[in-house]
Amino acid sequence: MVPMKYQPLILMTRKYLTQSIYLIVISFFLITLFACQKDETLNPTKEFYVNDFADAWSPATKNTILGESERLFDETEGIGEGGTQLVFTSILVENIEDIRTYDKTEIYRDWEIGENDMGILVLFFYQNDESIQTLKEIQIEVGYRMEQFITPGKLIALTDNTINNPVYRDQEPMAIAHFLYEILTLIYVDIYDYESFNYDMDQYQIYLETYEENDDTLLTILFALLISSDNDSWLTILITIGIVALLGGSFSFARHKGAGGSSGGAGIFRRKK
Amino acid sequence: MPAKLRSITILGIIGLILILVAIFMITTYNGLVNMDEDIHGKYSQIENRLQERSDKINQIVFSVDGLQEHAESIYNAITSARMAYQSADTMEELIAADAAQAIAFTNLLAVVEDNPNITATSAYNELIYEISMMESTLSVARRDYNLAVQDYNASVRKFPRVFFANLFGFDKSYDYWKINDGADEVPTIDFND
Repeated sequence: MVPMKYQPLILMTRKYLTQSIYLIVISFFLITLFACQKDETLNPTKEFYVNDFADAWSPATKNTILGESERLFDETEGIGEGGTQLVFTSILVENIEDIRTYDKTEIYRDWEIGENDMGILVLFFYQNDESIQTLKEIQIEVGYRMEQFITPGKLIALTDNTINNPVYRDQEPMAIAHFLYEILTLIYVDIYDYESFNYDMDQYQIYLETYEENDDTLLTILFALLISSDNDSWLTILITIGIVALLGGSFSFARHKGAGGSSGGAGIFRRKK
Repeated sequence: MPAKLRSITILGIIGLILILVAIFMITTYNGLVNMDEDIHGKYSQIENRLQERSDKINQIVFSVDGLQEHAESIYNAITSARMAYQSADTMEELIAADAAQAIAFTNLLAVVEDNPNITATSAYNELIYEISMMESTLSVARRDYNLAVQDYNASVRKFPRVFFANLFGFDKSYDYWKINDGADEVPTIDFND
């Protein structure tokens, strides 16, 4: 039996002990939480297929890349070797040497491009030259399974005929589009046995000149639906969001992601001439 | 507390501890199996890449115009690389074959670089692109393997996995893929021009 005079002391000790245990448990969870945080890496944008981190491309260029890449995956998903994901990314570097700090294989693997490793990642490195962004280097990484179809020789030839083509010296959007269409031709015809893949660069020139940004963002759609509604309750807003989410596939807020692919360092490095 | 209830409580606690220990052992064992398999998978990937390179050496030699005239100087290196690869059974032998292949490539490049009539052909360009990609993929495969080995070796030495690794008879460590014998002296080529 504990004497009466010691009982408050025991109660206090218990209280401190309980608080200490709580503190230890909370600290443990916090430490675990911070330890589990991933290192800061380059993450894809919600569009996934087009990641203009350098802010170097026009809306028309981005729209073209996104539209064609979405279509490519939609048409090839689950067919033959697997669906091909084609991802274009622009990166701004301060110095040419900084390009070496980016590992195309690591980015490809982090983003898990392509179904059954059928993917292509194209990195465009830009540098600021007297306040003008200049394309300096292109790097291409192809997925493990894609290696058998796309050889470095093909990629070099393709890059030199488009991006490094003197015809497009001051027409970078045209060069990028031509590059995109040539890669698509290679994929559709050589891999998926399409009879042909047709495109017309003259038509694309007209498209570029007449392009108007189609502002179909989530906010615009929500506003349009809310304006047309008589009821502005939260329920209406939630229902609206639900409807838009259900229809989401065709809207710009739809989030794409990698199809689980990986790569092993195959691809090319090509300096802009 | 009645004696019976106390016995049940104690048995319950012991049972719970045993279940927790069993779960921990199962997850640890499965974790070790996964890491072990990962190493084997990465090792196979290196083997595949070496096989590709071995095949490519032969193709390149006989597809580049004018190279056959100089084949004698590189023939020995290529033959020894092929022999080393074909007879490789252990990892050490495979590493030696990797080195021999790299040396064969070095010799091949030296011959091509010294003969402008060879470099003028389009096949030469194809050759350097292929070499560039093969070295890149092989380098990634080696790195992947070494990282898998690093994970495994560190894991089996740590407490409490060290006990389970011994208990279940897992390898105590795997060797890293260390390329040597001058194989890492393959010249760097500027493939951009």
